[in-house]
Amino acid sequence: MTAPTAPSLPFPVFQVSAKVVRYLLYDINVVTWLRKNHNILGVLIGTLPQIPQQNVFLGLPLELQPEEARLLVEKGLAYLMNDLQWHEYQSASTTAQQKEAFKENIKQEGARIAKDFESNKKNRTQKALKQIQGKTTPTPTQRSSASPGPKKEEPTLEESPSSSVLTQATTPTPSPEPSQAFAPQPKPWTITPTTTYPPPSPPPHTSAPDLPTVNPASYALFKHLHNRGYFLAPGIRFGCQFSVYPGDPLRFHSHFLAMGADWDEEIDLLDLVGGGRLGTGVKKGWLIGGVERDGREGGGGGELGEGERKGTARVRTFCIEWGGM
Amino acid sequence: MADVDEDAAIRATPDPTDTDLSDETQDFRFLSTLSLATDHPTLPRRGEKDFEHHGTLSQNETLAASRDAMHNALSVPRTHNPKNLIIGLYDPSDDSTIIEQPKGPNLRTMGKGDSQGRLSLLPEEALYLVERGSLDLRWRGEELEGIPLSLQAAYAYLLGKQGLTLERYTVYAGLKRSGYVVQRGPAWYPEDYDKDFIPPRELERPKPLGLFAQFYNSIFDKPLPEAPLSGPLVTPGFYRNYNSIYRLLTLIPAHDPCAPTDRESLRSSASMGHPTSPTHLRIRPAFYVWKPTSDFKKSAPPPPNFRIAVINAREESFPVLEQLDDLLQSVPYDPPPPGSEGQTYRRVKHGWRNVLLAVVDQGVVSYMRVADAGFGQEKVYEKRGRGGGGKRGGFSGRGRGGGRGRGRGR
Repeated sequence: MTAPTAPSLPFPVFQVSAKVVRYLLYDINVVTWLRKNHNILGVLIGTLPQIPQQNVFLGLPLELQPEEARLLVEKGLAYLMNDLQWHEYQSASTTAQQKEAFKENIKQEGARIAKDFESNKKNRTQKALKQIQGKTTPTPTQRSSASPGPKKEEPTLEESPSSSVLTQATTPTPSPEPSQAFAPQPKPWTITPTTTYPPPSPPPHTSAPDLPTVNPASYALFKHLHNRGYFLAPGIRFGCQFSVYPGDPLRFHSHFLAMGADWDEEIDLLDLVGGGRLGTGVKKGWLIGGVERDGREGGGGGELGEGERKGTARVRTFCIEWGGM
Repeated sequence: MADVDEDAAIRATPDPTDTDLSDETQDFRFLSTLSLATDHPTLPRRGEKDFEHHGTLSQNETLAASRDAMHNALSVPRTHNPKNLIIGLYDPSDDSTIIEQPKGPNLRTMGKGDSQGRLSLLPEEALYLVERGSLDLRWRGEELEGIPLSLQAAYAYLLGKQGLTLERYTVYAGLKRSGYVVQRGPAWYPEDYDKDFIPPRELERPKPLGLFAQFYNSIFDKPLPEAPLSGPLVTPGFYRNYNSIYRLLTLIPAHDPCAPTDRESLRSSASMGHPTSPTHLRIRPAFYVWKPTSDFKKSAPPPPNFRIAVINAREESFPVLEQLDDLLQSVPYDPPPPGSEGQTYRRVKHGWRNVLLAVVDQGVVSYMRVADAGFGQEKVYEKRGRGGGGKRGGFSGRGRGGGRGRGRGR
């Protein structure tokens, strides 16, 4: 397995197409790097090929919330790329020579995987046999009953490719077998790459980059909390806009259920009670916040407003808990 | 007093067996426990998490280990063993995906076969198979012969085609990963929204009564004339039981889920929408879903176990009454199961028609069930009457399923 490497900046955030305005990331290095250095989580929406039949652990692609995508573009870390358009352009402009090279590349990689798989299988078979031999001195009957064991490890449709890769990654390259020279060359495996090659290059610096559209009230709150080092995930599980984590959700529980609101927005008392009660019930605070509008400019607006575009705008947040007197 | 109970319920720690692991970000270090046990994959125990940073090395190391595990798990490439390779061909000019030699268990419930034994896949089916590493999707055409589509290319080309939104795909893939059999519902074909409107029930009126009961009713329980416009509600007269009196007292009309609806007025109100609602789109089930155990045949699917409509939490609001009514009228009549008579709570909860709503917020799905509850259908007084008079127990003719008091609210 490759260690995470920092992506070259700015990196592309893929908007699926003009019709499907969703922001996806396919590069694992970008995903890991963003999580570690910029507190950006996104949501993994893809199926993990090594264990496809479950919903607990998901894989690439990663869907970014529009707020996250916007923040990255505003910070100059990323740029938006219309994925479908780029692919169409790409396939039209690639030369036959490049295609051949790409095919050859994939074939070699596939051959390597096939070879690893074969030698791995052999290793495992030998290991299993050794174990059986080590345990008992095999009687003829035992041997015949034991021999189907390793055979069971023959690949089944789902598990084999991935598990072989997993083990291949964790164990050092197996030493070449003496018999390998005589073995027939295994048929190369085929590969579905995760990202399209070659990666796109950033567009020349133009006046204003494309920005994802967001709801201004919730974006202000998002930015405010993100600036303070919080991690924000979609909040639908608790009926709010964002679940707010004090650190990486891999390690921490969320502290707040956040709702963005306009400063003068009327808030339904029932929402307040509902949110407050739910939040307290799951040991979190229900947090509501918005941009304070004008009128109070004298009151030290600068101290909190570093991330806001206007100097006068500052976000205030309120946390509501159920008293339970 | 009631408050004390409720607060206690809130503070109680949730039952560990009742928690949904996919509800929270799980520690990827536990993935290996899942992947190694291929025979009996057991889900990892909920990882212990911390409340906040305490700046210890141990905490930082644990987090780093989790992140590494996640990175490694996500870096696993999709590879295909030539032994059981399934090749799909994608043609961008007409958005078709065709498998020339279909095989394997996944395809049993997917796609549409043709006379030459080929299988054509819908975009969501193709994308799901690529994503789970079960399909090697390649470009069709001479110049790109043999070049595979990357996962990224598959997303770019297949989403947005033939009505496939990312929200619908998220729901589809989630259901497939859970093992359900999923087929498209009517939501994908707006022009047919009114075509297969299922007429409301003609199916099931109350069972014809037995001879004795008929005779009995003709004497004691005959329908009474309409209440007069003035004067007492219960006109002086001769009443053999309370039911006929209660019936006279029923002044407020109740919604009857079995009654045929006025299609024309429904359609116009649904298409005009609620004056204050921002969206007034008509909703239809996007997926028909079968439990994995059922004997499913692509050519002749049985009635689905669930019907699921997909809603985007960020761009749509919860459906207004007109939309829900329109949606519920489009699904078949599904009355409370026989044998549930007397269990009022269960019957009201089950409803007379039902549909599941999948609300999607950025890849996270919440499911909720909406049913047309027939409160007016549950005549509480009839049950009371039956239980009270010992001798006259069997007169009503309808099954006497539950005992007295079983179906009360709580």
